[in-house]
Amino acid sequence: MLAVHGLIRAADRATVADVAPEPVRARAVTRGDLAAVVSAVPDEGPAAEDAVPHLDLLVALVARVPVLPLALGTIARDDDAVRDEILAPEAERFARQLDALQDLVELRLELGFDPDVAAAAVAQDAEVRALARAARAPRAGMAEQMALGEAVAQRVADRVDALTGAWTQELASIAERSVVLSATEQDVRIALLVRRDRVPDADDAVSRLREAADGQASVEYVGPLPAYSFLDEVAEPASPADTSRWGW
Amino acid sequence: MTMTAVNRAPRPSSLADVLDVVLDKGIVIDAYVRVALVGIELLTIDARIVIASVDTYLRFAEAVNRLDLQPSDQVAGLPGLMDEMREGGSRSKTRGALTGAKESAQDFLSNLTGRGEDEDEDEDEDEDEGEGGGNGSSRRNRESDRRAPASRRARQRG
Repeated sequence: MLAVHGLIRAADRATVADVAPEPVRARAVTRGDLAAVVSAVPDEGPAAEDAVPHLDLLVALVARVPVLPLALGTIARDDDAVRDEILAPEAERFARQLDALQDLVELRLELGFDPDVAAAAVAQDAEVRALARAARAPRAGMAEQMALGEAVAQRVADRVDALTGAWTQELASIAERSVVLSATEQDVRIALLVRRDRVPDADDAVSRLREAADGQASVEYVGPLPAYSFLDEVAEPASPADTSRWGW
Repeated sequence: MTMTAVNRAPRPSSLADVLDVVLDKGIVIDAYVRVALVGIELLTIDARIVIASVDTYLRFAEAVNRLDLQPSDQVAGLPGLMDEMREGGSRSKTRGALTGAKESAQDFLSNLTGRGEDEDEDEDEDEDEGEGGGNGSSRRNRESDRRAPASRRARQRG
């Protein structure tokens, strides 16, 4: 059985042998202008542990050539099945998406806000102070603690919104597109679609973001990844309504 | 790629974060291709989120309680943050998520204390009381004072 990791242009197939990290012995199966990057797996298919080598392979490829990542766990019987069932039916769409992604990669940013710093920042709010007094009253219990915690969490979430918007302003101007993957009162995860030649600019912007966030939030910065978060849109024209909560 | 590479990781470091990137993402081929994954327990994730939100609220409450015992000038000196709070976008989205988390959190606490069913009944009665003029039995009044939803109780005291 073959695990099918991703799709590249047939012209780029030599890259597979160059970059394939052990233990994935990946190779390319080509049909026309397209190539699928495959590796042998047991008949029952890949397991959770295969996620890391799968992503390593795609990351190594996307550092050099455009890659369409396939869903982890996509498998095919043999080379013919790869050609007939994966490459042939939607060859045109895949070629279009690869073209659209030619100069684009995904970068990810995760901001982890320190809850103590955040709570201190909202502790002087009048309602928070009132709820804090109620929570310390002699007969107060879990309900008062939860009410206080919820009020604080809500204000902290607003603060996270504002800080994230301010800190990521420069990155937003560098990225072609961006999307908020998830946001809580403690973590915000953002995916950015960035031109390859602007990745150094994004790196510089993140360095400045780290300085701004120092003492308030941790910053994790990952990439370049295949454009996982933008696959649906890359082959479509940009729509003006398609902006994130920060109006990017 | 030289100096700045230190700043940026090629991929997430933990298996959980890698799964977050690749799971349910990427192009799905319909046709004859099977999508198969062995050994991933998706069900456990929801339960963890509920516990995490209770934990978050309690941690925030604790953090503020700790701060509030200190002289106020020690915590007032965080520059500019209060002003920036007011610029937040899409509050409704955040609020919605928090409300959901709160409900889950209360369910979770009910389960912990083993009072889930009683509490639900009290809450229903509270709402009926509002319409019916509040002439419930004294036992129920006492009970609802003790167990009223947190938000309402806060308003009464405020």
